[in-house]
Amino acid sequence: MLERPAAGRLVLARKTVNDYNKHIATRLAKLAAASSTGLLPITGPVAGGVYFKDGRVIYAESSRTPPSAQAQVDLVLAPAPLARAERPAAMAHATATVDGDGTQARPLLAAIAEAGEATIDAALDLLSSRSTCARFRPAKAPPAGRAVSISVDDLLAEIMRRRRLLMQLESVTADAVVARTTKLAAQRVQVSALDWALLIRVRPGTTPRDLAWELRRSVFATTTDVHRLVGLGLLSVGDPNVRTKLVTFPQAMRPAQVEGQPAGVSFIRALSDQKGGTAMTRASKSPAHRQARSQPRGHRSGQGSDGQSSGQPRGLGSQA
Amino acid sequence: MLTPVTAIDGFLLACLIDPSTGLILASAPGQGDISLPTAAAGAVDISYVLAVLAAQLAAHEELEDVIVTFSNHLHLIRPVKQEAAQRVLLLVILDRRRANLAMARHEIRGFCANLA
Repeated sequence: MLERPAAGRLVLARKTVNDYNKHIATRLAKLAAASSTGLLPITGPVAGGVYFKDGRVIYAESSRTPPSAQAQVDLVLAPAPLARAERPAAMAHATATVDGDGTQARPLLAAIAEAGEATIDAALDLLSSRSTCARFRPAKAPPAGRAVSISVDDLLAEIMRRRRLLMQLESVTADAVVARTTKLAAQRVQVSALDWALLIRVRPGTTPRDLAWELRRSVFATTTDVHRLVGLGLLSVGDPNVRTKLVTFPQAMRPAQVEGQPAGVSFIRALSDQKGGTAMTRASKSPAHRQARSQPRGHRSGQGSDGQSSGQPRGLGSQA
Repeated sequence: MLTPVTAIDGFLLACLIDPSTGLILASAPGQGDISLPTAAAGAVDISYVLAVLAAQLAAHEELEDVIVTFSNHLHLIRPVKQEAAQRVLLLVILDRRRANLAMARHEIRGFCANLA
């Protein structure tokens, strides 16, 4: 649900973890199943597109998330040739090329993190919107040097994990106005260089999304960092000088109210939903997923040798 | 990328994680049945708490590493020095019976210095 408050700022209201754009998710799954190559444009309140190569997502862009600044490193990857159990995560090609003394490792690691994060961040934004898919454009390529390779299943699983994490952040959303606290509870506080970079950029009416654009960082990562700074008492949500209607969760949906679970942010808790499984659309699941689902618990073939279950997020990891 | 870490005595699992998102950037699974996503998420949660602790202590010190001791495993978490906009955590899980903690820390420190 989109609301336009008095100040004119667009605030995206979150509802539930499963309240994502199933239309786009279904379309992505179908393009993956068809091993498509090209661009799926997304139009509507949040515009953007998802680029495919041989059925794998190689890049995604959204009008509301910063693109990858890493335009010089060519990370266009071939589809992973190995089976999922052997190579469960995306980008195995990229990291496999830097084995050795590690001298090339950091720039490539930074490039992977940046390009992959930009894609996942954009996909999260697109799938959290009410936008719709336009006609698929075959053979359309992404901007040079901005491609990664992620399977649609992995991408959707990661998006669901992030949505579960965002649910825990309560009133700190990407579009919530934040302000620097004028009086600190403690006499002194130590912050990291990144925290400092965020703090000095907070002006009246600033949101985590604004900070992300300014620092060319992921909106999701910036939101979680801002949440930590709010927890430290360095930032507060809401600016008295800007009349913005902030949307918070209903009481029943707040993390503190979830049965048997403590309040606060937990990445472990974000791994699975409240029922212990993962939430994905039926259409977004591959035949392998469906087969694994039909097997009794504890005997699912999706659980690889590394202990990753088929529904668990795999991120951008690679096996070294 | 993580090959040097896999040579550490008692190595079971290692991964590089983005602490802001919890995203696993690279991993090197070894033997054992440890869940990589769970271990990585746990490491991020620990670093999250310690970042708050470091902020509140304000002792002009930086977190060097974290050692979590289970009866059979050691979890070593170490921030890899990165530029301000990109932070990375290294998680290494070792078999406690076969690992030499001092040597492991030394090797991990060297690996992180190389990576940074």
